[in-house]
Amino acid sequence: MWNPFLESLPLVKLRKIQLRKVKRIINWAWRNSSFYREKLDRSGVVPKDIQTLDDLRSIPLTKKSEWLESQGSNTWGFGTNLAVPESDLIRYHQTSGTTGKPVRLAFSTRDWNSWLECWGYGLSACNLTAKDRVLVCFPFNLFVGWWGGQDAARLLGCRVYSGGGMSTGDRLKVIREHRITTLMGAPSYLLRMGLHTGSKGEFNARVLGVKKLICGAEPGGSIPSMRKRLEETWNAEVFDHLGASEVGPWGYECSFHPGGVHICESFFFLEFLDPETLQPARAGELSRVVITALEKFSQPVIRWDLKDLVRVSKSSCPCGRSFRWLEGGILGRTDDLIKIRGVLLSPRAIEDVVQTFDEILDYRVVISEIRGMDELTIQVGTRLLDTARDFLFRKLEMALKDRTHLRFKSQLLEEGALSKNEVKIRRVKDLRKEGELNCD
Amino acid sequence: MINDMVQLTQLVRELRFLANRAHSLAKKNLAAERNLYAILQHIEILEAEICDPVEALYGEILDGVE
Repeated sequence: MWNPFLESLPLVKLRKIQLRKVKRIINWAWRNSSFYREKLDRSGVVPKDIQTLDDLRSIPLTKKSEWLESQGSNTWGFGTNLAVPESDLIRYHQTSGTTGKPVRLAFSTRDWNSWLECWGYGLSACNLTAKDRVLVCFPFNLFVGWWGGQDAARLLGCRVYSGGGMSTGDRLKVIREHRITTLMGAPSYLLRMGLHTGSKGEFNARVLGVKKLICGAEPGGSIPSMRKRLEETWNAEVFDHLGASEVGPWGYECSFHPGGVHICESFFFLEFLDPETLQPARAGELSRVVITALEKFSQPVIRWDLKDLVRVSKSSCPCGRSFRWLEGGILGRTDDLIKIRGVLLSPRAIEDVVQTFDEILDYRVVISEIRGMDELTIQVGTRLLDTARDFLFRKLEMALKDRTHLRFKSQLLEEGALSKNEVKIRRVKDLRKEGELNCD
Repeated sequence: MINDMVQLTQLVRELRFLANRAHSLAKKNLAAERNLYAILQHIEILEAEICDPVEALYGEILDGVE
């Protein structure tokens, strides 16, 4: 464990620590962030009103749109939620921008160190040690993504290889030549890399010696069929890792693989609410996550509506951590359900079906409206030809119908149709709307 | 384990005191100032991971020792 003192603390004691930190961050935000000062003033709350963790509910949820609005249309600056002098900032990052305009993220040295500390919990839970050689498969642009994972791996003493600006073939060569033990990356990309055999068939991911895949940025690491495919393709252990750019790396999977991810409860306080009523949900119930970052001072995050749907496990994990864990990781998002002919469709359900077919290399779902009727087309990338391909299409259509109760039409995915983004892939294109829907 | 954590907290506090003192003497030497600043930032993480939790849970023991 990274910090066994905290990770094995009884929950009652942990709540006492969280309360102390919640009070401190609210006081800090009230004094230093005009964004939160206004928010608290509008709801008639002052810091001394927060005497219990339940009192937090008197503060309205914070939504991404509010934060974006506070940053205005200027190309410069962090808006009203900057709570430290600009001279304290040492890093600039931003969200991936897959759901629209990116949020500008500011980090002081302390906040970045806290960020790495959260990663420390996750990486030590994967049993990463100084003996590991880690390749980070990430373009290293302004998106905060895997920058933290890279620096935290160094904190653990690992030898880190920054895999930015490299082709998939070049990365595979590095894996082979440097005997890389661990890969970090988006699961869809790690799968694509694992299936890449090279022009002369020189790569076989199963025998490259990679032991661990640390997945993030997309939900695939917790989707059973995707996990299985990754494990089989690489002959490696899969770990899911949860985070949100505005909030931090807040969830990690341990090597006992209980079937979900732990919450990093020393750095975050999470509320689980009924998705409809927003009243507190019980363990085992489908819940919407609201998160407060306890050690984030540059841009405080209080009661952030993550929009993620999760289920808190009622049972403890055999690893001995008292930090709670979420069954199946992120089960969906409140804003990614798509209504098709009156039926709600989750992109995760499609992913779970598609990844059971080894013959499928890539896919995209296109939603259109033909004569007033919603139509679903699944475009599939595969090496199969003619009859074999038609047979795959029929099997896939049947499997999707069984799972979603909706009829899909299969079609070949033209090469290059899907962005070869290494960070997040947009798999659903909704032609009924002006923009594309994001299913990350 | 609790005794160790309480003792660790006291040592981190001493470390903080020494690092603050050294930092205040290093204002005219960039190499010293920046590296001591980095040490202070790491001490803040130790405070978040160790000292704050120990103070929240065992403040009375800590106060008794002082």
